[in-house]
Amino acid sequence: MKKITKLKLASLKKKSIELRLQIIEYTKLKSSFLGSCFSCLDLIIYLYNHFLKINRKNISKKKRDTFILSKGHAAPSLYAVLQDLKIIDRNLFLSDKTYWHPEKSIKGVDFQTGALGHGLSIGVGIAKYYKINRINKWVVVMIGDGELNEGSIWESFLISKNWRLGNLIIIIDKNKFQANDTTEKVLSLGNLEKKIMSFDLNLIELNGHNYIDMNKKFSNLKKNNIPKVIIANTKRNFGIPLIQNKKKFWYVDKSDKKLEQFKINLQ
Amino acid sequence: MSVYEKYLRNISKSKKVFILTAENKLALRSIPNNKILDVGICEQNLIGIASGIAKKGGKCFVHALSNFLVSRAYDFIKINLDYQKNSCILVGSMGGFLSTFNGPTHQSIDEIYLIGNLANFDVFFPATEYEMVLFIKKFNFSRSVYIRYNPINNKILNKVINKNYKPNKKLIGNGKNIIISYGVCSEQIFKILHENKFLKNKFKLYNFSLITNLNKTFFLYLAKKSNNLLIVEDHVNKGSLSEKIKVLLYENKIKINLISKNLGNKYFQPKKTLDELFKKYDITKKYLENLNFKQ
Repeated sequence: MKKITKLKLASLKKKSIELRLQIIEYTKLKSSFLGSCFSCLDLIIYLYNHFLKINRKNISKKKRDTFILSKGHAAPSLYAVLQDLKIIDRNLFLSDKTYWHPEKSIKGVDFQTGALGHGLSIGVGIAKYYKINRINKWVVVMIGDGELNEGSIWESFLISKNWRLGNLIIIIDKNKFQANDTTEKVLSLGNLEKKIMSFDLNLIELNGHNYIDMNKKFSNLKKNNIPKVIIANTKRNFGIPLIQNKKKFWYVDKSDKKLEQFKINLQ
Repeated sequence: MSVYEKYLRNISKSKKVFILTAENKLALRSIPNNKILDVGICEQNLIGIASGIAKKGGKCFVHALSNFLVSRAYDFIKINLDYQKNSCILVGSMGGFLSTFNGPTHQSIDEIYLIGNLANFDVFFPATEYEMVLFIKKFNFSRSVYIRYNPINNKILNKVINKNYKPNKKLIGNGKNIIISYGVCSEQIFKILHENKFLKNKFKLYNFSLITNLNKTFFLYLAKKSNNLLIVEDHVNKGSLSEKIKVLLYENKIKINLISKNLGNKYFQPKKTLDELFKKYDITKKYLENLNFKQ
């Protein structure tokens, strides 16, 4: 794994701001689940720019690294990164063809997700296919901490461990919120780290807004026989101090007058 | 080893072929464990995993008890297989009357209604296991299919089916009255007609195993040949083959005397054996002998 140079770090940080601005523009046109988009954006930027080998040249190929955004309501973050990499056109990103959840007809979207609890099982299937066919690629699935309410996720943990899918990386975007309230209040996860450890999975924790920390942790990942679970500590609406880590503004309507203010407030 | 197991063993040599199950081996008893991906009792994951494999080019044969395969995992089937066009073969065991003595929790009697209305799915209820293999051999994975697994092995019927196999063909009889059926009911009626010259001359039996493939031309042809149609099935009325045929006949202004024999809107009364069920639901020689369409 390449080290992140100062130049690269500056470039990633610049993207982090630029793409947030673009997502606010998107929100002004179509509304969005902004809180969720901004908690995972830095992770998606890192994955596509430094970890995963997904680019314009190989995007249509089947045998490549695969990313599944199981928490599909953060689709604008994925689209923003795809258009930044010129995998999709900027006009398409802002067009009627994109909406609040990933649309399969758009290049770079491997799976239509959004119905929570689906994406991880799909990732398990792809990882198993790669393993059996000796395709040396990563499968990364990003789920939300609220998504852990779905029983199917825990079934996937069991299966991935039993099948020794070391090529599978499960990222939990732990922003500590789900739609209407904190995960603690809606359905407490208790000691999440302990729970995941009890599945004998390879547990890693990192700061989901710190590229140096992300790179440090991802650099150590090996395709052994143990699936990886990364708990990424993140903040809802990260980057906009005005609304960061607050219960409100999970969903932001296009008519919200504060959207312009968010742009000014962006850090 | 059954004909389906033989077929699976043969094709599973390919690393593109995946035999999956949610801890159900009714159709896979002689398949070695190392050839099967068993997800445990996790039907939703079963479908999610199959869709991931199919997306990358794998050919999946997905097994579970019918009711849990279809109903428990329905959301996954709808979104990940049907909507996203990841084609798989789903094989549900103990569907319809084959559930015999399990009771309502295990009865799968609405698959045509649920799966048959999905845009990229076919529904196939073979009369014998042999018919299922003939069908799968021609299956090209351009769509998904749900198969109600039928372990029945009727050598005489298999011979009839084997001749230039196509689903939805006539099985037996030269009579003017038409019977349309599928699955175990088809096989039961075939047996009755095969043993009875009078009934063979009274009826013609069509085996409508590929339920999602109804065509207008066929029914126009039928209407010319006969005015009397009996449809026999182990499925609830809603979404059933008979309901589909009624709509087709109505839309095309085809007038036929039609008697539809299905489960209505109730779970069926569990019985220990298939024969007891046929007796209970009057799918019998006596019923066919006494049947009068003019009543």
